[in-house]
Amino acid sequence: MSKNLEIPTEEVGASNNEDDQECPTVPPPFDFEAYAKEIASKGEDESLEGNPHTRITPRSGIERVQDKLATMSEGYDASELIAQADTDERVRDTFATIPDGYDAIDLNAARASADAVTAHEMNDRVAAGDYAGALDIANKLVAMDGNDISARVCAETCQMVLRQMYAARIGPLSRVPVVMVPRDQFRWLSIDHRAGFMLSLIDGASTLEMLLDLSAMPELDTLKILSDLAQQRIISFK
Amino acid sequence: MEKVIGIDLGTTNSCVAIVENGAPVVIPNRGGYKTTPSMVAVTEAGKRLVGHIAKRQAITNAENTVYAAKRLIGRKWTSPQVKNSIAMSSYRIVEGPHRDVRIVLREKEFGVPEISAMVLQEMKVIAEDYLGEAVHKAVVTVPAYFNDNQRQATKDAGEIAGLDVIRIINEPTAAALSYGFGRNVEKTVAVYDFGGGTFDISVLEIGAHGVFKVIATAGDTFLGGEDIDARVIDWLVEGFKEEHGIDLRQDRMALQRLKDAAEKAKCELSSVRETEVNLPFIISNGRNEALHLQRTLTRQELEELSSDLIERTIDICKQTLEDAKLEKDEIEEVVLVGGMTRMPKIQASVEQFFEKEPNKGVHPDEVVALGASIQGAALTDDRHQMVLLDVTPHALGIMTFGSYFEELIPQNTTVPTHRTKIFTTSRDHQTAVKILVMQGESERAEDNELLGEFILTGLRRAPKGTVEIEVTFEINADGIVSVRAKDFETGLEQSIQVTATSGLTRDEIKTMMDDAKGDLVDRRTSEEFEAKKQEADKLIAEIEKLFPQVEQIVASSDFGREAIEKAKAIVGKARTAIERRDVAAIKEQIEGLTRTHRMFKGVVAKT
Repeated sequence: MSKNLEIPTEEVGASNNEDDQECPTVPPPFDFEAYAKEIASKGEDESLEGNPHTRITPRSGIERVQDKLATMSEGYDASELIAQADTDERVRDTFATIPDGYDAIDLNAARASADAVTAHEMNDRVAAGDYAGALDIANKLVAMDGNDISARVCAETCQMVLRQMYAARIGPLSRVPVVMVPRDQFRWLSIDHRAGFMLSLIDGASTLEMLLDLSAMPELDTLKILSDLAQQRIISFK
Repeated sequence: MEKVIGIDLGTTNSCVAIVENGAPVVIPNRGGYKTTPSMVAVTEAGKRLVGHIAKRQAITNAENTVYAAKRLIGRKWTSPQVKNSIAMSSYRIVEGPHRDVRIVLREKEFGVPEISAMVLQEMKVIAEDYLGEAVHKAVVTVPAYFNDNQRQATKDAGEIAGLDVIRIINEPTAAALSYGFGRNVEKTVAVYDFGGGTFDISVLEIGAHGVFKVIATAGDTFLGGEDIDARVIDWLVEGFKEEHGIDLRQDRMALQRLKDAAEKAKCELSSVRETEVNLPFIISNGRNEALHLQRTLTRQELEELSSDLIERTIDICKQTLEDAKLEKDEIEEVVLVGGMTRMPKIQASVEQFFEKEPNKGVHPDEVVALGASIQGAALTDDRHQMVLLDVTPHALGIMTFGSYFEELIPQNTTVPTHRTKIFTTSRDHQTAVKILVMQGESERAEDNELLGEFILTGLRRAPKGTVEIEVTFEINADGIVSVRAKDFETGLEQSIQVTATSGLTRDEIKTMMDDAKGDLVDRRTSEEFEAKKQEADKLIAEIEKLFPQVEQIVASSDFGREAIEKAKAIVGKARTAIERRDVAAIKEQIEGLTRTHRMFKGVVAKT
């Protein structure tokens, strides 16, 4: 995710200074840091005690999400699911160092690319509920060794989980997204060129399914971008 | 009376029209647009896209998006046009089993008529949705220079799409028909047609009692509005490169946005003097920062960028008039066709060349389809009598010794016609001659299109140049070409009737028709499912909204509780039917949902 936000979100709409008249009237982007802290403190209050590194249980990762997904119906709000995953201390630790404009998934993925990739780390990521990071490592492992069955299985599972998470956030593919931000204020948004491309495809008539056909990106990437845009309230659905 | 639609099957855009209450009207597509891009794509998931949706992903999925299939239809693999297309197309063009052309999309080979059939089927569906009834018959337009094979291939495309193409007419003729509709015109008219992918100029005589005759036609199949878009794209790309040092051509998403923006800017500049191209987040730089493209393009800059292209069209006009031995003052009216003719610079250039203001009374994007629909109505209604006299779009002749082309029927000869020429043997003691029937304008036989061949045997053994053979070409009113060769001395003769072929066999056409039908059924089923699903979803949402109120009202009675349970069961069944994509079951549940909704509303209203 690009760091394009030139004006701190706290200032958005707060100032009457003329220079700030060009700033967005859009609601500020979703504040992952605050959200993560809120979730973390809630988690500590409710059940988590002691050293955070001892709190990870085998079912805190993919199995837990899969259990949840199995009970999900169409239109289910994935925020609960994501919140659960976010309570893992790894994600919380990461949030503490997140710079403005980043989200946790991207940061983990970026970190993974910098480090040496190992199956151990991949499993850790899954256990931590960081499926995007786990998928990134799994793909690298498969690239290094095409016969790495566990990496292949992990990649497929992560893709399935992520696809369902994003799909749950944006709802049925027959929905039509609309852009909520006036065109002249686009450049103030904190998005990258791929999200910019997706925004250019949203015309108020094309369904999510059509956008998946048009995006020319892997389905998972497109779903993530749409889900992020919806979460940042840059788009909504009619 | 069965309705006949008129289809302008264009290189870049297609349009469908019909005569309603005596007047021709264009039928808009579902998006409200009156033209539909002649593009077909197959997505990674194997889904087929046609029209606007295919165009919107044409660059990001370039290898699997077919555009300008019309340049390939009915052509042989060895044709120079095919070679040109191979060099310029992003999709794969391969040789077919009958020396024809095939297109590969996602590893599957398609015949060119099959691709055009997808566009024609789209136009058929647009018409059927509008009319609310099935459409079976169509008049389809083709460029005046199309040869017999290309015309036959267009007919085959119609057949694959489930349409009986009752007549193929020339595009300039259709434009002139529309221009002359409802008035008694007797004029020599030039039709200047500058579309998205091709340029054509044709001169027609519109005679009394609706007689239309094409007297000259020429053009460039690789010159169109897209070339002007490409100039604007280059201008934007170079400007961005100077500013940021990044070549936007390297990124397909950026290029797709540039293409859309360039076309939009070009169109806008026909009515305003300057326009802003604003593409935020066009690309990210090495530091992962998103960059924006913002430039102002003026009409003057656009005219400078495209001046040589416009000049090329004028040169073709000049050459066409010279070839037809026509003076400019013999042209009484100039009709503008094709979206590009909205450009003020083009209108000015045409006016300057023809020394008269072009007619702007016809809609440049719709005029051809409207003309086709007029012809369709005339063919099914005896009250509308019209005679369309066509000319041979290309010269016809035979190959002679040394691979030369000997012309018998010149280009632009009005049909029906017949011509005869005497030939002699080229070798001593030659007892047989091979007659290769060709179509084209080149003196070199190999540059022309081979239509057919036959051998005349039994010639007297004699020194070369002494045995005389009479060759006769005949084209009847239906455009069928017959060639006869006769030995003067013996009276022996051989003949051939040239049958146009699209390059597809009957079996292939049959298979393609079945595939197209299957796709249409799938599409209709999917559309019906979406419509019924939406109806059911809406009812479910409204019922669920009323549940708390109704439950509260009827909580005290057993009957009420039972009704609530039943309502919940109906909602559950409807949801299951939606999940299974079972259209029949959804329809069934919609009845129950409607009843429940009505009952709930009644209960709430009474309190």
